[in-house]
Amino acid sequence: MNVTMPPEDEIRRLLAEAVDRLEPSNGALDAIRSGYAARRRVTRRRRWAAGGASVIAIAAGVAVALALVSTPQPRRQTLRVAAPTVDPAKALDAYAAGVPNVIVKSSPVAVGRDEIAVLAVGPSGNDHVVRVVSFASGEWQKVVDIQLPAPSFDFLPDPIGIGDVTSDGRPDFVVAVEAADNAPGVVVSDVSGTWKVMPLSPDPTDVYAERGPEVRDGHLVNHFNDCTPDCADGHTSDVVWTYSTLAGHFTPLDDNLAIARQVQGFYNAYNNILVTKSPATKPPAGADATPDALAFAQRSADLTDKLKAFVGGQFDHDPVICAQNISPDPVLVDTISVSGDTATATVHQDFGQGASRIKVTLRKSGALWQLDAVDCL
Amino acid sequence: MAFVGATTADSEAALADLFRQHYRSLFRLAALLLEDAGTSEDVVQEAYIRVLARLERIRDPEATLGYLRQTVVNLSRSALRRRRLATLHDRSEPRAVAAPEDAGLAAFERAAVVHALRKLPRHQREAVVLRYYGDLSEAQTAIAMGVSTGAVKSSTSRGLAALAAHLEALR
Repeated sequence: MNVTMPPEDEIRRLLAEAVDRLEPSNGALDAIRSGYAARRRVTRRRRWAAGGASVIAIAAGVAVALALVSTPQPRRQTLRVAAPTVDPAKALDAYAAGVPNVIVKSSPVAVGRDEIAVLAVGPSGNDHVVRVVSFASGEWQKVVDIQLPAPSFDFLPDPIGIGDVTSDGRPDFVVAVEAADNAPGVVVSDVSGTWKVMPLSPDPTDVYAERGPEVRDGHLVNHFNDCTPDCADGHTSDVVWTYSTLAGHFTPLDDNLAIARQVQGFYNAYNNILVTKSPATKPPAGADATPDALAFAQRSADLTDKLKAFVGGQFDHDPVICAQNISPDPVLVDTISVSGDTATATVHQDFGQGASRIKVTLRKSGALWQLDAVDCL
Repeated sequence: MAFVGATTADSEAALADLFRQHYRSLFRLAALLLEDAGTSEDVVQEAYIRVLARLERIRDPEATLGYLRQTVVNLSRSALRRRRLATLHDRSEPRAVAAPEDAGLAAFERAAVVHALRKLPRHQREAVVLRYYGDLSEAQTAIAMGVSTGAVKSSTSRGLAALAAHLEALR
C-alpha cells in the first residue's frame, strides 16, 4: 500500500482537534485533595506502626542488656538530638577536602532515594582512579575506586559530564583526561551491575573516547578528526555513540563508522595475535587467535568454521587475512555498503609486492554490527 | 511555588497552581495514551496525588511538570496492562458500550486519529502523542518515556508511518 506520510503539522492539528472538546470533570481538584489527604493519613499510620515496633524492639533490647549486666555501670547521658539536615553538596565538598589529590568532582546526582557522585583522584604513584561515592546517613562514603587502564592519563579539571548515556535509567559520568591535544575522556557507569569505565569496543582496555567527549541529548558524543591533510588542519565531525547491552560496550550510531570500527578492531586484534604468538612467518594455528578475535565476531558460524578448518589443516592460507604470511601493515577498510541490517566491507592488507583483498559481511544485532562472514577475493 | 520544606498551606497553593496550569492538558494527554478515555481522569488524579506526596523532595519547581508527565505515562502503561490482563481473563460475552453522553467525549471517540492511534504499539503511540500533542522535544520525550533519544526517534518515525497507514485505511 502506498501511503503518504502526513506532515507533522497535520498530525499536530488532528491530535489537538480530537481532544479539543474533551473537558475534565468539575470535581477533579476536590478528588485530588481528598485522595492526597487519605494517602497522608495512611502514611502517618504506617510511620506510627513502624515507630511503635521500633520502640518495642528497643525496649526489649534494653531489658536484655540490663539482665546481662551484673555490675551496675555509671549511668551515661545519651540524650539524642535530631540530626540536622545535611546538604549533600556541602557534605561532598567536605568529603573531597579530606581525600588527597582530588582533581575534580561531580555534583551529587539523585538516584532513587540515594545520591551518588564521582571524584577524579590522582596521580598517586602512577595510578589514577575514579572514586564513586554515595550519600547515606548524612555522609558520603566510598563505593569503589576504579583504576584507569594504561596509559593512565592525568585527569583534567574540566567539569564532569552527567547523563544517562547507557540508557539504563541511571546516571553515568564522563570524566576528562589529559593527552596532548587529544583531550579524551572515560565513561563511568554501573550499567553492567558493577561500577567501571565503559569500553568503546570488545577490548576492555579501549576506554578512552577521543577529543572532548561529552553528554549531549542522552548520548555520549565526541569528535572525529580525519587528519587530512594533517590533524592540525583536518576536518572534525561529531560522533554519537550508543551503548549496546548485548555487547557490553559503546558503538557509534552512524552505521559506516560502526562497521569500520568493528572490522578494523577485529583485524587489529587478529593481527596482534598473529604477530605476538607466531615467531614463524607462517600464521599460527587459528586456535590461538580464536578467543580474542571472535569477540569481535560473536556468533559468526562462518568464522568459527573457517578457523576450525584452518586448525585442522584444511587451508593452505589463513582464511581470515587471506594470506600465507604475516604482514606488518594494518588491514585497511576500502568500501562499506549497507543494506538494511546487512553490510559488506571490502578491505585489503599490503604484503610488499602485492595485497590481499577480503570481503567482510556483517549483520546488525540491536545497535551492534557483528562480523558474519569473511571471504577472500 | 514552595517545594522543599513546604508546609500544608504551601502544598495547597502548589496544588492549586499545578492544577490550574497543567491538569487539562495532562488529562487530554492521558486520553490519547489510553484506550479508554474514561480512565484518563483516574490516571491524572493519581499522578497528582503521587507527585504531591513527593513535593518536598523536588528541588527544582520547574521539574514538577516533568515528574507529573512521567507519572502520567507510567500510570497509563499500568492501566493499559491491567486492561489487557482483564480482557485476557474475561471470557464473558462482550458488553454493549453505551454511547458517551458527554459531547466532547463523543467527538473524541469518533475522531479517526484516535482510532488510528489505538492501533499503534504502546511505544510508538507514546512517542507520537508526546512529540506532536505534548510538543515535547526528543530529549523531553525520552525522559517522559524512560528511553533513549534514539529510541524516541525510531518510535516516532515508525509511529508516524503506521499512523498514516491506519488513517488511510480508515478513510
